[in-house]
Amino acid sequence: MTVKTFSQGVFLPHYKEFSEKKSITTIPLPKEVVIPLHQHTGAPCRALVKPGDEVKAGQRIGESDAFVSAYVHASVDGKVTAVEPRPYFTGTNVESVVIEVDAKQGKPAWQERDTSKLSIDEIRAAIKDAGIVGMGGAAFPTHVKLSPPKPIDAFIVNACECEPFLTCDHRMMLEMTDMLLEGARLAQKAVSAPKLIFGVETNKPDAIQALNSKIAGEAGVELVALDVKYPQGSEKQLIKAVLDREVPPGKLPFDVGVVVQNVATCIAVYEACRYGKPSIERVLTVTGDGAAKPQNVLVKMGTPIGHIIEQCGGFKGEAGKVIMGGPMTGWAQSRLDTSIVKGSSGILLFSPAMVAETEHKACVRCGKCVDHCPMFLYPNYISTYAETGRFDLADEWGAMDCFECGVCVYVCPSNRPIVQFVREAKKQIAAARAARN
Amino acid sequence: MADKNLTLAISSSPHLRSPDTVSNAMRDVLLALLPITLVSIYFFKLHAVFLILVCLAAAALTELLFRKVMNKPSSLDDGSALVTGLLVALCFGPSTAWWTAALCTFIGVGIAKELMGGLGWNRFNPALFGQCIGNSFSSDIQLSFFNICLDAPLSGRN
Repeated sequence: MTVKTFSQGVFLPHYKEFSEKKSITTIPLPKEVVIPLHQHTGAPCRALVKPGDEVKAGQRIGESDAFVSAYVHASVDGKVTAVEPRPYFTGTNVESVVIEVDAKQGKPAWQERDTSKLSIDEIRAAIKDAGIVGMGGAAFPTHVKLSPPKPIDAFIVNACECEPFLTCDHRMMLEMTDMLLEGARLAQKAVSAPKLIFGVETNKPDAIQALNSKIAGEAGVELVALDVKYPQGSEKQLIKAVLDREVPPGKLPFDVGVVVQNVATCIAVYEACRYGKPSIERVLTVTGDGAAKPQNVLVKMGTPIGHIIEQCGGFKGEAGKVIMGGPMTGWAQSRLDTSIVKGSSGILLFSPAMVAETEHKACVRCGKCVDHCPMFLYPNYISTYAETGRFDLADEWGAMDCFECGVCVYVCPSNRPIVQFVREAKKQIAAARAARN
Repeated sequence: MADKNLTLAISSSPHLRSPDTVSNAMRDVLLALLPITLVSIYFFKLHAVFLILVCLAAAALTELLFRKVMNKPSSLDDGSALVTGLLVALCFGPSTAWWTAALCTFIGVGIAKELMGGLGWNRFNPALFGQCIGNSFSSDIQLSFFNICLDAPLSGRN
């Protein structure tokens, strides 16, 4: 088996053993779900419901007329108790629909249809109706992504799951293989790509085998095994490894004839096309060295993370950190009433031992960050310029091209919070650019 | 569920760190210098031991002094002072006077490193800066490879 990879990046400890063998479970519903009206890249939705309204699971409760946006739906049967700003996992407050969950949930009335008979427009319409966005974390509206303005010759399924700890995609590959395959084919059809490629990291040999056994010998479909290196799951790095094509800075994958979608997104596409089921639930991994019962759990969108943590046994010992997402790009939580959104792939419970030191030294110009940055930037210069307020120089050295993967911070011997410096620099640079115009 | 009194740490992503630190890097440098240090001690015996100890002490004390005067926290734990001290000692001849070596170490660590902003902000290598200054002003420490190797190395005289 040839194993492909990309340049630079870093080998991280996997930490997958906590949950990679745990089959997907479900947990009881919470008392209340909080559905943010803006949980995707693009324009926020306006609420279609008001306090007092009864809603059914799958009912559209938010929409926008902008092209780049996605509908939001009620994930449960319940009653709207408020439409107001609520804490969002990134630390801000976002206008959300708060639904009190009915004690008795009805049976969903999805209408089955034959997916092989769907046209490209019908596929895209089903995806748009379902409010599907990229579930690997970027949350880009899928119907937009599957309407590329340029011809596509390859559709890649991102089955890397390159962040340590997370195993939800892995379990979906094993337990929902047929749904994944069908969803991938539907998405491939939507972009008229002749080639379908699965990019899977080699730390998932059972998933590789499961997929290979289904696609064995089929023309136009292949599985590419990838080295377990972070950030292999980042779109541009994935395209480079799988097809040896470089997406130029400022451009998108369709500029090189490629569209990439995450495993969970493909499964959601299948469910939308086959059943008309909207994006109302997802599998995520509750794990971490501090998790009492690490597991992969299917939860309804809008479930408060505190409820999920409690249902999964909470902290084993003392609580250190709660992270929404993966350990490299995830968001540390200051409160447990933030809720799950479409891009939430994990909840990490860190013990105090795993909480990283915050004290940092000056850059010692060792160059490790330069050696490892997957975008070939100079994080050392960017960070020292940002630290000393020279955002103009940080801009010159490419701060805006950084996609905040965190590799530089991981390798830095001075423990410098380079990603944090870059975020500040990006803010200042954008403000300076806006002021000039 | 916000009724539990949890103290949670907050920071920007990423939330993982490699075990590599500046201290580890400095320890590795000291280990790399160990063979040549042992060779020097073998050839120059107590002269070498004495000079090395003087320079290590001078480097550590200089850094402590400068950081105290500049109201900065101690940075001895990163190990860079020891590395500079050892490097200065190793680039001088064994007949160097202890106060010459100490002064050059002081200049290297104090001016080239601490006054420039500390570890990472130095424009020049502190050890070599000290050695260059010393070379310019004192014939005592002028290091000659051939003198050392060919001209009675065991006596320790250049």
